[in-house]
Amino acid sequence: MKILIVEDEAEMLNSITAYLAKAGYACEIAASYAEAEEKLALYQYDCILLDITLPDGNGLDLLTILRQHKSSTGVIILSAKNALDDRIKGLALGADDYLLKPFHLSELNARVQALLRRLQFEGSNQIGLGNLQVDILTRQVSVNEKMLVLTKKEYELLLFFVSNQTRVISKISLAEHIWGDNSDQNDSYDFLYSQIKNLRKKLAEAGAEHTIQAVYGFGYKLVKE
Amino acid sequence: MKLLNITTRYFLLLLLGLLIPWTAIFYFSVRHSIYHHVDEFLANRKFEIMQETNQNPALLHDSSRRKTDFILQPIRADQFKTLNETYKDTQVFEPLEKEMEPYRQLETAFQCHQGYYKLTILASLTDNRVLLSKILFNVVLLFIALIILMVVLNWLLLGRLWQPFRASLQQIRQYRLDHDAPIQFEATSISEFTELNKALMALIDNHRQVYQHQKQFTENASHEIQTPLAIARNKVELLMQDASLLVEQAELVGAVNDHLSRLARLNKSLLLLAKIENHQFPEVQEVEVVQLVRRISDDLGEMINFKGLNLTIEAIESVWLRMNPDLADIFFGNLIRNAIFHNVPGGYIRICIGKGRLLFENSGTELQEDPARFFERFAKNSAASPTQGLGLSLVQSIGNLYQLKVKYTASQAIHQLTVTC
Repeated sequence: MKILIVEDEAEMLNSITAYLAKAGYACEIAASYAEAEEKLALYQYDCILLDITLPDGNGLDLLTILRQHKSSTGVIILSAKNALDDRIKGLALGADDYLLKPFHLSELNARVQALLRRLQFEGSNQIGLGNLQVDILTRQVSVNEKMLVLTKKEYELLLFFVSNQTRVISKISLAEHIWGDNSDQNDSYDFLYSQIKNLRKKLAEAGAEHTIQAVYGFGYKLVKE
Repeated sequence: MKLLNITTRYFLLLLLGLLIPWTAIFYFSVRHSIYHHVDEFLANRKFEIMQETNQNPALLHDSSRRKTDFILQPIRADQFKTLNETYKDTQVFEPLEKEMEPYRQLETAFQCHQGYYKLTILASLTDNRVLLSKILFNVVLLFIALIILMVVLNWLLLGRLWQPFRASLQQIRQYRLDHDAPIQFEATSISEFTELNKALMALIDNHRQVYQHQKQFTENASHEIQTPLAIARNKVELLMQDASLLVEQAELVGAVNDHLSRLARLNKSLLLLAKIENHQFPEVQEVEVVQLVRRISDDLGEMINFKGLNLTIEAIESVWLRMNPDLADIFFGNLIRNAIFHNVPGGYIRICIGKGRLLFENSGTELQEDPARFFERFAKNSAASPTQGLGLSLVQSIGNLYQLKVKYTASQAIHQLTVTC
């Protein structure tokens, strides 16, 4: 999978590239509008991460050019501006997703994966991991062909873990993923803890090869037992 | 009351204050001169009669003259002494017209050829009265004409002269700082309105500029702060992937990550508050409250179950509010979250939705302070709380934007947030 990352902030670019490269994507970078325009004309990408505020142009213009060529490339807009009109404009111009800075790399990774899955026509809606199967269309999880009954939030958590397998995901990024704005409440950590406990128990009872492991004090990780 | 109506009222009062006394004075002076004239005539007549009777005493007993304008009656000497000459108004029956007519009468006495006589002379006032009432009628007519003229003038002035004022007012009413181009008023030949328009244009232009700067600053600040924050957080996240971290180092990294995330959320909320207060959410649409509350409650359903709370939604009727959909989400989301997170295990939440009044009631702990304090920024129940203390501030700011009045009351362990709309 080839991803083009358009971002003028060098440090940000490095972090995103490092994280996504580890996840197994071929990453190319463009630090300016001109560079991005050139690369888009020359090569084909599966997914583009597009910062809309570039020093020499507006990322939305790149999106327009891209969509004029009827390219099926997936586009995720990265923006520091939480302006509704930007979001609406971006999505109207054909962006597939919109991620507000600052974001967690694990969240970005999950969004990229979800987008790429959606774009692959022939690809099934199934994600397999060991004996674990996740059907993202029906939102059903099974272990060894046996259905696993999960609550909505448990499912979201598991999918997030599966998307970021073998990565350490911080508690806060998990909480933000499932709770959004609610994640700063005391209860949300307690809740997260109980959800992970339940999820772990359900996975173990079903005989899954993977389990959720606590890492140091700050996060969790999906690992093979 | 319209300005012109006020001026008209004062003008009318002035006119009445001037015209009524003037009419009275005019009436009495005309009347006085008429009486003076008639009395003079009566006095002359008396003099004439006395002369005639002096020269021709036979006239004193000539009954044929009695049908004319005077009556002669012989009187005694003692009566003569007590009788004073008097002028007075009287009524006399006119057989021709078959009604009483006003007359002026002079009663006097005189001595003639050793006899005493009482002389009564009459003069008709009818013609003079008619004249007086005609004058009065015309004066009143003039009054009415003046008042009608003023009302008509009022209408014409309101329609014509105030037209530029009303046009400017209409423009200002419809003007939106966040939407429109600089305001341009119609040119007018009335210098007061030109001055007003000029001053308004300057004021609005100034506000527009301040607004634009603020908007730009908000967006720039967002960009400038969020980007380094995002970088820092991402670096920490990468660091967390390092399997060779020592436990102590990992704890430090975890703490840094937590605080960076808190900072990021705090910045986001503060920017949101600034944007709300700058009216930077111009898009509005009709939002149905019952549906929205149900959706948010569903999203939070697992958390509600986790805390063992009992949620009841009493939707009496659907309520439509005109507001920005994103802000509506935050507004009702924060109200419901507040009820969940400041609740006690096994407590309840009751949401009551009816036209004009939305109630969010929940069980909780007893408060030591005024609940209205929680609308202030960074007001928390306890300093150790990880929350930002901005949730209800946001609710209030959004409420202010759309004229929704939010009131927090707490009695013992029952907390109520009431929204009046």
